[in-house]
Amino acid sequence: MENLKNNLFPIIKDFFPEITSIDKLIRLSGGSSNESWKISIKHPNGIKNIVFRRTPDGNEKDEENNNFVGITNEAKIMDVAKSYNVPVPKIYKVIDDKNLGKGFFMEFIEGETLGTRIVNNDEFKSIRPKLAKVCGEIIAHIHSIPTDKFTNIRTSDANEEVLKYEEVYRNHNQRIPIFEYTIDWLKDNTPKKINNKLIHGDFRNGNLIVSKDKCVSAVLDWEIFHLGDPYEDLSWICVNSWRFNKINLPVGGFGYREDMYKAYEMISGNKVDSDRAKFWEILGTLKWGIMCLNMIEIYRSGYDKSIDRASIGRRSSETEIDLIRKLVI
Amino acid sequence: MRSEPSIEELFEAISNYFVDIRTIVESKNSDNKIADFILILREPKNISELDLKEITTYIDEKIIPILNGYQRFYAFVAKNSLKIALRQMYLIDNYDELEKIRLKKILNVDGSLEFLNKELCKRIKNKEIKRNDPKLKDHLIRSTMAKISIDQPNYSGYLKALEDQYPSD
Repeated sequence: MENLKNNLFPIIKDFFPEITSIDKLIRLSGGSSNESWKISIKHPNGIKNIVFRRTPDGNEKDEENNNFVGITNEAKIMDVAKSYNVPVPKIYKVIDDKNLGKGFFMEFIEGETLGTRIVNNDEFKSIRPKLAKVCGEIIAHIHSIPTDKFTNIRTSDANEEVLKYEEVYRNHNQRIPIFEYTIDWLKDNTPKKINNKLIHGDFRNGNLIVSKDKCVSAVLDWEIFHLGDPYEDLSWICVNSWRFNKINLPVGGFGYREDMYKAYEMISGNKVDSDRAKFWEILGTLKWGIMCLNMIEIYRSGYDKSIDRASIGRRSSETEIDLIRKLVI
Repeated sequence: MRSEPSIEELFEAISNYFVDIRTIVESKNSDNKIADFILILREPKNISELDLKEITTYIDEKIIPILNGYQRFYAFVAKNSLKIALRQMYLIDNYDELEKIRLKKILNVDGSLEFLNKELCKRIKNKEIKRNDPKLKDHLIRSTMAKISIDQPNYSGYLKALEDQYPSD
């Protein structure tokens, strides 16, 4: 930890010359995806908090995974999104440092990110009914970013997403009849191609900073943004696993689809097709189930031997019952 | 159909976690229980229901109160995994038997549960069985209800299915 502080200090001094020392360093998240640290900086007038985000342990190997855009692009998309009215933390500096690896520093934004607190805590009671509308607006702003702002990022439409996750599933040794049933349904019901948009790719309750005064203060975790079908973002947030047991409030466990769609239509000028949205919600449910199976493989590989990683495999059953409710009943 | 990871893998992951927190736990508790639990969890064939209950109580009373941050969060995850294992030990034989009977009727072949599930998947994939086949639908509902009743019985989707009285074993 002291070593990390020593390495961070001169880099922070570059963009924040008033720094006198690093007071605290707290790991916010981590694992196989990028890790985030909250840094409390002492300066003559008090304390300032910032966030440092980097590849796991400063390593680069995860960037080889074809879903991740690379941490430099992650900082770049956040910078671009800000200029298209998407609430995101301000980026201070992007680094490629021999001691710290690749990463970036950004603004620390106060608020709540834990989905279960957002859907349950009294402090958010008054803003919960507004959140679906705000999400619709934000998604429309994300989709307004010109797709030519980035080169060399992956494109994945409905058909490609189905095939990609089918492949991940088939590489796993377990055969799950309801997944097989869903893949068959998805292939028979794949919607026609529409114009690609720039997609966040993981827009859901849990990746939003929610605060009482600003509703959604920031959208986080841009590490899998790509070009694709805009319904991917509109439907992923409705997957039941992100409703935190508030099954009757489809948008993130806090709101209704109609409110989100209306706000999206107002800003984007595009009418939402509910059948297309249903397809993407079913695909999203299957994707999360397959991702849960994949966690078991990550555990078995020895890359992460934590109890958390192993036990997530047992959450695949959640998506299986949701698929039964959506397709079989 | 047995969920993954297996309960043996869950026991292994819990024992790894216990190894990580052993020093802290032993410094705050005068007993040597955690060392015993590590040995018990590494011999999954000999684990009894009583062992699992004892470990769960120990996590509640002696581990959760002394930990913070992610280590405390992992204690809850470990406890939940032990509960999954307990439910599986109680329920799985009956579920397996009923699932096998249904699969044999649908497929008209015999074999292990693993083989029968692979065969069912193959037939769905090749459209040799129709998605709207009532026997297939009934089977999918029952086997999924069985699986989630072991893995996540408090999940909203399962509670809704119970409320709507989906067929179950």
